[in-house]
Amino acid sequence: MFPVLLLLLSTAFTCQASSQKVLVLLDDFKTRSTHSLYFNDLISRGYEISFKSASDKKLQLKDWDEWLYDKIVLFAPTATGLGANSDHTTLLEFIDAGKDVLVAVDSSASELMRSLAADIGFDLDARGASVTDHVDYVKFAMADHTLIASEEFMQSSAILGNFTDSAPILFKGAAATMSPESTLGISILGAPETAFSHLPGKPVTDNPLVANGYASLVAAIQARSGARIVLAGSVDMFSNAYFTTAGFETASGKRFDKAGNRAFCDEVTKWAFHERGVLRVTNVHHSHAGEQEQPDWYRVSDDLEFGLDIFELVGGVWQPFKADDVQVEFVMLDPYIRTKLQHNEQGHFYTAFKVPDVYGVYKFVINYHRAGYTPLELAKTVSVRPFRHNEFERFLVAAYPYYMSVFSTMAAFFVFGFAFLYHK
Amino acid sequence: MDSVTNRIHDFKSNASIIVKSFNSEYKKTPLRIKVIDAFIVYALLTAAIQFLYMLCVGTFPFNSFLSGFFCSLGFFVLSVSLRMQVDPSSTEFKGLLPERAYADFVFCGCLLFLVVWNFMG
Repeated sequence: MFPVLLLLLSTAFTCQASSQKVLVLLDDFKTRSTHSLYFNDLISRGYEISFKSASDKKLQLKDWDEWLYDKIVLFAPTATGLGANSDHTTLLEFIDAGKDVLVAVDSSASELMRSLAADIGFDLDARGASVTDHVDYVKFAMADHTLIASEEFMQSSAILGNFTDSAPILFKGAAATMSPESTLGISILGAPETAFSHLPGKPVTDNPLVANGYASLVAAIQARSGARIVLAGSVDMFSNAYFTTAGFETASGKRFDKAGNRAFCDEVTKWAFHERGVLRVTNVHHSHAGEQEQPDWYRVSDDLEFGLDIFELVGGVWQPFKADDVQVEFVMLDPYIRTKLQHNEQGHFYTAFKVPDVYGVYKFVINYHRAGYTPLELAKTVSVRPFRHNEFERFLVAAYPYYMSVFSTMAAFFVFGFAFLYHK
Repeated sequence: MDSVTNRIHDFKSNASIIVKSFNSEYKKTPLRIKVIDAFIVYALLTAAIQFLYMLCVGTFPFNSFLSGFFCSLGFFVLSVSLRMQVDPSSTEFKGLLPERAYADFVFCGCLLFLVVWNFMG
């Protein structure tokens, strides 16, 4: 058998929500009560929550190389150190181990939070800068132009599930930008068109960090280790106050019955904690057309079938994945064949094609990267051999004239002997 | 115009003179050499026909084409060699017996056909 390289994220198999340990790091224990609805939602989904102060000197994430927690919620925007450390290296190790982190900051985010954001690929705006909207701010008792309502959430069922609620999300905090070259970063919640990020109360003299299209209020990244990290620019958006806002009006006169914060935050957390958007591949199979057995090699111009099963984790249950854009490539340095896979709605994806007329060692390659889904990277090696010497067609009708010429020449050679020897 | 027709006329008469002199000279050639010449022409013709056929139907199957084509060409080359060796007017192979030359021809011919048969497939 040829070695099978199956690069599946290990997290794909360990994503049952039940009895996973979540560490909530706070800078102020009041958050525990002001955000209790959010934490209760986590508990009701089966998480085991422990609250710790980010500055707790006895804080320990790892015990003898074993991680003590599966997920971390970091609601400590002003923390200047993590436990006994003054930097966030343990947190980065946690991420490198493929574990998920949800970070919420606000406009007063500390240097620690800023460097953490920078290390996961996001750039928080200058300290103190808030997302401001003078045109369409939310009108509460006090006219606070930094409290805005955004409906610019990403249309992705992988990340937000069936959050089709058109209720806008209340937001008060900082915006982040990501490099346009970032291939892993996703902006889950953008800012409204009229919003910008600046120090409140200071006159805008330079170009502010333009919010629309560039800045994200909630950004996420799916690291190559499999970890999912969400960076929310506002701690307040997770708070009970915003979760239970009954109805509000914006400065431009739009009225809303409720805020979408609770549903949105829960859905984002579900995605971040691998409850959704997780793909699993099983039963990768290839064979000669119409056969079952999986051979080690094919001959050039053979007809073959390729198939695999893809399942998606939905609410803790593996369900058939349905997508029309999964492709398989048949690669020997270059892809000789790249074709879409059909599927039967039961999660089985398949295709059939003819092996190219070039022999060598090929790979079946699946490289499926979609925003919000765990990437599928899979390669399966198979060799393709040329025709054997006895596999070529023989006695072709097209070659009859050549055969005839050889026979006639030999006959001529024979006759020539008589003609030559008996003429003087 | 006159000069052109004259030229054509000259060419025609020259050509007919060449053909006539060739014919009269060729009549003096021994019969045995004439027989060899007939086979040489035959070999060339089959080679040419196969080449034309290949141009019409394409090079597939190429090995069959090569073996048929080279069989004819090889036969042609061997016959020409034999003709040079047994031609009494040539002085190059004076001491060589015609029987010896023929034996060489048969040996090389057998070798040629052996190769051709193996390649013809």
